[in-house]
Amino acid sequence: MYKEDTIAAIATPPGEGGVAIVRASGPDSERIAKEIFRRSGGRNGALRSHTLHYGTVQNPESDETLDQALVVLMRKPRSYTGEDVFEVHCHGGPLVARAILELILVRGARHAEPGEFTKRAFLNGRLDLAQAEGVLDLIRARTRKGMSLALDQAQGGLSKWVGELREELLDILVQVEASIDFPEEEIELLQRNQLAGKIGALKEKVSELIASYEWGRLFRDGARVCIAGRPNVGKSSLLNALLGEERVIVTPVPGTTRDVVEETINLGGLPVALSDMAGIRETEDPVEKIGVEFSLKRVEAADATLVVLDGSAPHTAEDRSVLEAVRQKRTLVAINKSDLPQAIDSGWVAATAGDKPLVSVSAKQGLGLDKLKQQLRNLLLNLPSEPPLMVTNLRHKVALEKGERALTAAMEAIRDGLAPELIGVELQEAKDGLEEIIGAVTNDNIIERIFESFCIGK
Amino acid sequence: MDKRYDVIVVGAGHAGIEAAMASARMGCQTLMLTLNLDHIGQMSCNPAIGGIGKGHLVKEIDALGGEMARAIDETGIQFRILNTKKGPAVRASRAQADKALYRQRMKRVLENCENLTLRQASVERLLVENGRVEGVETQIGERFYGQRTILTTGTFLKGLIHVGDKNYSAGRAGDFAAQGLSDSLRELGFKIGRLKTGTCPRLDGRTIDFSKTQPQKGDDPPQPFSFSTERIIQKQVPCYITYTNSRTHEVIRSSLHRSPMYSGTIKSRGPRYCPSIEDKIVRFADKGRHQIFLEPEGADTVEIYPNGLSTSLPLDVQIEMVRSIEGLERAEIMRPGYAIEYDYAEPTQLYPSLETKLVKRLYHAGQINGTTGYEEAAAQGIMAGINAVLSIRGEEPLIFSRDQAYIGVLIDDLVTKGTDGEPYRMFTSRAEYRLLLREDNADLRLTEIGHRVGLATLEAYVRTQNKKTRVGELVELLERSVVSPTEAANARLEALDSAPLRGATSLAQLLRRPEVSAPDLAGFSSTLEATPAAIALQAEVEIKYHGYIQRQLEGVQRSKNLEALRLPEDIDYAVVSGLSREAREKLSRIRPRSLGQASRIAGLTPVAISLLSIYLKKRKLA
Ligand SMILES: Nc1nc2c(ncn2[C@@H]2O[C@H](COP(=O)(O)OP(=O)(O)OP(=O)(O)O)[C@@H](O)[C@H]2O)c(=O)[nH]1
Ligand SMILES: [Mg+2]
Repeated sequence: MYKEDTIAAIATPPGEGGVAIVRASGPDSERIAKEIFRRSGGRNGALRSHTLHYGTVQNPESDETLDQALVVLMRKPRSYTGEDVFEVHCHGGPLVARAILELILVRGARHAEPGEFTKRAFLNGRLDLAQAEGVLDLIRARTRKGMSLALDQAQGGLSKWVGELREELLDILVQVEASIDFPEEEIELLQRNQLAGKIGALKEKVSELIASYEWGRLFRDGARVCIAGRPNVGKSSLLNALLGEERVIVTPVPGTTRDVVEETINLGGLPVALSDMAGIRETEDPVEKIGVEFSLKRVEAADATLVVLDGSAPHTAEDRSVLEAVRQKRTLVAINKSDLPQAIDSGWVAATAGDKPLVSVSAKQGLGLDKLKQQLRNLLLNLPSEPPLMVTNLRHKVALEKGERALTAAMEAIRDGLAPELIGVELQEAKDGLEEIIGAVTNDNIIERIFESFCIGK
Repeated sequence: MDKRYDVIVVGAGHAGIEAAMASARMGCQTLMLTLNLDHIGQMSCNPAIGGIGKGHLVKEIDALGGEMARAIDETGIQFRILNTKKGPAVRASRAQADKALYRQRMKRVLENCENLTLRQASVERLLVENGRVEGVETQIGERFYGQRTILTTGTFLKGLIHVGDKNYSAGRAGDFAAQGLSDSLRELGFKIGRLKTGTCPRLDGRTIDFSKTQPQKGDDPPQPFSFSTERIIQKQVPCYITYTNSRTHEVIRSSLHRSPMYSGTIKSRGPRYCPSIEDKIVRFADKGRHQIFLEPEGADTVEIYPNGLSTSLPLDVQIEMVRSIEGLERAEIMRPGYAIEYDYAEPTQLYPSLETKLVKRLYHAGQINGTTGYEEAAAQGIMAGINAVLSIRGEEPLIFSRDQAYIGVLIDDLVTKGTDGEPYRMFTSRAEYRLLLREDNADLRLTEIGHRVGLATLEAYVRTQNKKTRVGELVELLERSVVSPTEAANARLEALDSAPLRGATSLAQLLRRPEVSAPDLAGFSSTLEATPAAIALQAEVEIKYHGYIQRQLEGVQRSKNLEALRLPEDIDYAVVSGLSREAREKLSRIRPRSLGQASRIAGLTPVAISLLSIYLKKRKLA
């Protein structure tokens, strides 16, 4: 809920940047800024809005100087949140920024919750809903690519695109509405099949956007991939090799890994959480048995599996059951230990793996890893080319699906020869779906449009 | 010698008639003041009632106990149902009226109405004390006092007629304008705007060669408007269709500089759905011809209304233009066409009861609120009349929601969005819940309410209740009756171009097929055969559109949440945090009753609505 207090937080990511920014927003901003900031040259009086001022940050109680800094005050409504905002640009490093934030909090501000600035920006009408959601995704983004998707949305990319789809829909709706309200006019309306064609084309675009959600989600939340294989084929070694560090213990003893180890790698912007698990085999060891069962469950839940085979040894029944277990899953098969003489029957591999892609690697010597990464990325994204725009938010996807369903129903209504006002009901619902993403716009637009498009009136 | 009344109605056009009649019938002593007692219920523009969206309004007025439907049923000379090829929700009635008969009929009914006094007078000034209207003062200083006053002054406020570069002051051709009243309103603080509309020249039918035009006949038998009319008995006449051509367009184009619209004399915008012929030719230059309907103005007159030829060009151009059209080569103009500018009061200054926010006990209805059309005017008139009486009785005003009546859509639009500089006309696409607001169920929706406030008669109420019961029974019967796939049954279906039966099917199931209508099934059920058409149609609609109607009802339910959140009268929008200056200004001006109404204010963002709802929650907690 919206409280009218002043909030503050460090706005730059933690770490050793050159500059850190501490931001405050709310009615007390200007007062606090004046209390803690001394302008150089002894000037005082009102701080000009939207201007950088140079000076020192001081604790007014102790006169202790915390840092030299630039301060900017942005009076409402022309600020990010739409409230009075001030920012202190201080020297980087966690300590300085932390101390300044504490000073601001002591002077009466409250520490902002994650995303609270954005929430205020939304509530004050500075961002539309899709933009605000984009910013929140941005905050949570885990790779640069995920960030740029969220950024796109924050800057209104999605709103703009959905807005265009809505325009297209309105043009169709106008045809239907004009035929209802002006039957006496000699206006040239689209024939039913033309209308269905237009609706179909629009539906395609909506469907594409829905399909991009899968991508958007992967980029935002990351993909989950299980490394599966019988013991000792080199699963842990492969994870270490992909990570570039010795994260997991590797031994020549089969059954070394029992607990799941999960680490994230960056596949060309796509965050992928790789889990190394217990090797899958029939076992009497109760601890390992639990590990194996757990592995199988995890394989089930993952976005894809990376099956590892040992190329230097003939295949075993266990290899077969591993491949068996992932038959329905998106899978990449890595034939490991390519540095050793190969003993695995390639005919068997080809037959058992079916159409699953294969890649030959050596975890030990780092051979074939780039190829493996490329293949894994393709496998996860499963699209020929990246869509221009991605839906990353579940709410948006649900709204688009509502639109898609309504458009399909509209086409069916046309096919079944139903009355135009019933087609209108479906198109209105599709419009509602799109407007759930960008915010509603009043009905009058349709009437406006009828007049723009047709010569109406006797 | 001051006279006291319960309700004073200023104006005797379509709004004034319904307002006065409603008030008088509900038992209030009512005074109707008009500039000219001979022109009561005049149709200043085309001689027709109804049309899409408008026919719906007329049926609603009738269901409430109004007069318009019965008047046209008694004086109409051609009746047609429009949109017959579409679904029942958008089917609409339209009729050509015998203008003179319509007027006489209205005057007669008003004169015979109990509790109603008619007076010819020109009202110059409202008598307002302590923010309350107490009565009116006329041109000759006569004063009338009333507990409530309803202004239904149409296009008469500072009316100015233009023909070419000539103009003169008039309420419509042949009537004086009302000069003082809009100044009186302005002095009281009302925001007064100016609108423009226009009308066609009238032609002498004896000089038209109808053989060169296509006749357009009415429906046979004609379908009445009123739920109380059994059948139309008067003689029916055809209309005729002809077209403009490239020569017509040439004549107009070469004289555009002489049109007051294009020379800049008239600055106000006219309605786009009722454009002048000049407008059509300029805005849709690539259209080779425009349709003209030749409509008789009555059975007893030779005057013809060439619908589609509205113009304010100089008379010599009007003559040349008319005579360039097929069939009109020798046509004589009996009255020139003209454009008229007039004052109106921005309707966002009204509560949904149609009472003004500025002056208590004062109501505005009809074209003074920036609408066009007899039907829109009448709909506001009846509501202003009802609400004036309810307010005298100390009862809550009658306000229809958007899912209840087109009247509700009309008034909500007016008081929430205003007119935006263009006269407001009803369209079915203005209604979100179009499938619920049909002509055929206007009585089922509204008669009970009309009866409860004391307007719709007991007879109408009983008739409606019976209809409700019979429709329910018929729906049940159709669901229950099963047809077997016999040869006879399938032959019947084949005749309808409908697929043969595979197994036993209920009549209701058959009725759900798009190509099958209730009368088609008469052969399958003797009960159905004996059922009156109105009841069969109602049952058909309920069965055929059940799923869609259900969906719209769910939509209504969802929006009810917002509608139920009342915005208190005393809310100070300056203290609602986060609102933009624009939002504050609009909310303070319009003062919406509910969050739902607020959400329909043009330019108010969803964000502003969430801020308001947050504010309401906080206020409740406080
Ligand atoms: N030559 C060679 N040896 C490898 C390669 N990858 C792994 N090994 C060896 O294979 C043995 C098993 O490796 P791990 O990575 O522990 O195998 P794992 O599949 O994780 O085994 P469990 O955890 O027991 O299921 C170790 O001795 C590794 O050094 C490779 O590419 N080439
Ligand atoms: Mg291991």
